Amino acid sequence: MYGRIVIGGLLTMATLAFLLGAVMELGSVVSFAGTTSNTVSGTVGVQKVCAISTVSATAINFGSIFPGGNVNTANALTITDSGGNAASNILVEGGLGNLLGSNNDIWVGTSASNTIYISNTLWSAASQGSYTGTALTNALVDTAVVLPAPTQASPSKSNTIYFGMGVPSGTPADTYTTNIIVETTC
Amino acid sequence: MIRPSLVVLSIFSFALILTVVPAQLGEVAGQPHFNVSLGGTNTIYVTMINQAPYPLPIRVILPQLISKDVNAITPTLKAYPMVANIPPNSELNINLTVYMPEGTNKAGYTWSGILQVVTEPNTTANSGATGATIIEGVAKIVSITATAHVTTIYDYLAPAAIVIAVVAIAAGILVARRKGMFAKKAPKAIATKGVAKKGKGARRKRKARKGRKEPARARRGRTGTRRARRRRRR
Repeated sequence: MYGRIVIGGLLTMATLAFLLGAVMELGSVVSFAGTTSNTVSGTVGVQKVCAISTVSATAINFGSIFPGGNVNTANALTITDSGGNAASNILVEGGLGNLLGSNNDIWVGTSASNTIYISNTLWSAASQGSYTGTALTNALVDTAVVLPAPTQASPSKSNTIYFGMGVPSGTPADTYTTNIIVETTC
Repeated sequence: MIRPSLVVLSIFSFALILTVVPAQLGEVAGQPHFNVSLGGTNTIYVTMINQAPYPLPIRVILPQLISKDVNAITPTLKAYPMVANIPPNSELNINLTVYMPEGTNKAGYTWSGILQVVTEPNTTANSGATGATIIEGVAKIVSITATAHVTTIYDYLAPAAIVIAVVAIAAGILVARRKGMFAKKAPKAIATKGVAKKGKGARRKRKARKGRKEPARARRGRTGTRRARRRRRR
């Protein structure tokens, strides 16, 4: 009688142990479904940025000018910031080469010996009805023209600088070219 | 038959394309300022942004640094990269390194200049275009301040090496002297030959020590009376 009880108890314990082991093994393979909650906090840093784009023109063509003649300081160059969020100042310079050498402050003709000094090009913050303004140099000059900071409501801001051109008397007939560099800084 | 509404729509779309694709070179706001110790270097970077949907070639033009201080030696400013292509809608860091020479420079001296980043090479004007070609760019006003020389371990290395070398040489000489490596051989040779010291005093000392008369040091030529010479010969 007692022997049967003992054997039955042992069998029961073995079965329980087997079942427990099987459940643990299964648990390591299959994750049990459950409900958890986690809070993730997000941060984003937005830097102050300004950008430049001269969409209004890739070149300024002053047309044909007679020697001794000029063009009013009214050729507009619009500078736009449509990707920034900070105000910037507009700087200008003109000339060839690396724009730092003293021999580069020129307009040059198709014949390299034909030149016009870059100082004959004038710039102004406002459109002028005559050939007046500040002479362009081959060193960057702050125009004091400000490109306002774009906002969410107004994401694109622009401002304009006007250019004029004079041709000294005796200048040989030719087609002249140069560079005008427009830069922003913020 | 083409409907007028379609024509208006196509014109509007074309206008939109024309206005939506500008080249946008951007910069992270802020002007770079360097504090560089005399004889030292410092590196910081400026960030350029291409907001256009196409690559943007840029070129860096280094500034001419100007100082108002007396006898100021201009520091060297290097930028890397000097030429690059910023991928569409990406940014590029341009590293700026300043080397501050010591010389006559003093702490507190300042320099400034405008660093330019332009959107395309401008070695020559566009040959195909007439008039002035417009080049876009961004400018950074670089300012540099010299600070006091910072003492580092390297400042001590050279003097320490010299001191160690001197001590080692001195110790070597001392050891060699103790071992007699530099002892003069001539006096030893004289001593082995038994040449006595010159002088009346020395003779007297030797006489007292040995207890016998020592012959006087021979003089050159004929000296003394005839009797004395005969006595000496005997």
